[in-house]
Amino acid sequence: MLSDDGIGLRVIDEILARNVAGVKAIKGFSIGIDLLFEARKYERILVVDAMRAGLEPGDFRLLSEDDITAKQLKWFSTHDISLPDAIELKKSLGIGAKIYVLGIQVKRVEVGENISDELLARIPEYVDLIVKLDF
Amino acid sequence: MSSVDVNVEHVARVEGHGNIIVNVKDGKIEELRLEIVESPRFFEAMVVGRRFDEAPHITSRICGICSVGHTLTSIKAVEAAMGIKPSKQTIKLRRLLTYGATMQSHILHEYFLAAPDFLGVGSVVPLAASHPDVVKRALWLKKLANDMCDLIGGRTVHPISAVINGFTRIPTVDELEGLKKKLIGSIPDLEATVELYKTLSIPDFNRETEYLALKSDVEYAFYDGDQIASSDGGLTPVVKYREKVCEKVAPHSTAKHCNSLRESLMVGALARVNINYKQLSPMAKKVAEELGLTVPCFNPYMNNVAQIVEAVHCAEESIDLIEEIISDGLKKEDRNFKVRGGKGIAACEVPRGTLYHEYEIDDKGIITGANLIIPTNQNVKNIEMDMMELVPTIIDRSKEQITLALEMLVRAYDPCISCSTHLLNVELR
Repeated sequence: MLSDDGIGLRVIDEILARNVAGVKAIKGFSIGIDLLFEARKYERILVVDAMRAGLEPGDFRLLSEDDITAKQLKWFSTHDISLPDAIELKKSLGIGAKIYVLGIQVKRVEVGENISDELLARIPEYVDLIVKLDF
Repeated sequence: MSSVDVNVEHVARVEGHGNIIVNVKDGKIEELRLEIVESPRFFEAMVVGRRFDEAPHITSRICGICSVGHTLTSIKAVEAAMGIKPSKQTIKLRRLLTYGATMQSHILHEYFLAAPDFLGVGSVVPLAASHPDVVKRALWLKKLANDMCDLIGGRTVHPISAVINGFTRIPTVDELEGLKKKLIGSIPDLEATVELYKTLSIPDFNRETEYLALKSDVEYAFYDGDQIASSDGGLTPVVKYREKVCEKVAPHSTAKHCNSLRESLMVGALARVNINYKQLSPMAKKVAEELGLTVPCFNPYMNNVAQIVEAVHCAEESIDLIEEIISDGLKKEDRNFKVRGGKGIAACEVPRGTLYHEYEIDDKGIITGANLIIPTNQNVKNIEMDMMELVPTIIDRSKEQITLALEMLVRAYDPCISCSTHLLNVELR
């Protein structure tokens, strides 16, 4: 409902539609405490989300745990504990799953249901990247 | 210290974005405000022009933590508009879902957002090393509450099986028996939570205000209660909520301010315990007593304790409710209804307080008007007035201590300021 903020969900929808072996796609949970419950079940978790990082709309970055917990980055805790804190907690509790973030640069996040064309056009590219990721 | 400038940008460990601004010079407060800096969400405008059955899904997106509350309140408002009377089974399952949502929110808030303050750490992360059992217990209790919401609502965040006039999926007897067993198993962990809270030093600060909460004849009101009760006396039918809760725009806040009989009011766990204490479960009453929560209580920091009391209440009531549901027998129900126009008003007690949804729907089922009053909106003015009274009493402390006391005060309310997006602001170097 906030334009490009929904890009992560659209990418997940596409992955769900493809039914890729060995990949479980989940929609609808907040990336804080609840992420730890998923981290117990899998080896790797990739969070796909909208990002504002000064890139061209549609460009993306794959962030590792070190990137996510780097002090230079600003993370706002939105729903519960922040993702960096969730990762640090995960490590302290000995949960082994690795967490990554695929951040996709937005063009706009005002009220609206439509995703910008620049992002829409690259959904197949994001999905291919995710499916072929070897990390 | 007689002069201090406190400027906390983006208070940590609250849901959403708020700033605390307090400037004191020579013992006199020159400036004090709680700035809510979230972008306006426009949900009331967003649902206009949409179909009636989209409203619960849209409004559940107001917040991930509170999405069960928004979904159910929205459903109730649509049902009220169309004269739909859900079955007893549906109501019982919704009550169970509400208990799960309340538990997961309170456990999240108390253990992961509030407790670090009381345990002298900046976040929950250091607790994993210093208090590993505490963190593991918290995770287990949160997981249990999530499982409850997943089972009944289809999903903890943005529940999908609770719909107008019923559920798209009814849990099985085996699933409910399994849940009941886990809830019984959670009692020692809840007792351990109480023991932990006995060791915490809750700041001693009192300011009397007006407390509001839903009132039900039959139970401690969460899912249902057709009257708004005030600690200053009186009952107001929920359908006349606009006469009881007055909203005003505040220039420094994107969240409106509310008041009723006094300059401010408080909703949430402490308000509910103050008003409906007699209807708490036996175990919850015992916990309240053990933790020193006697009513009336005017200490906003005790909202933390009230949430623990309610978490215990929800667990105990859920066990009894599951037995009742199983005894009644579960059945697939006809969810059909006639779409018609009307105005519907509904309220639920969600973790942070009373939530109101009001819709006007035309004969084709299209929403033509909407009004929502969120619990945290109702508390914002009260938080400011608490700060106004608190600051002079702690002005002799260091700036760091004053800042912490103010942050803890805001966190005690468990505000859900609500994010405009869960967009990640990332500076790549």
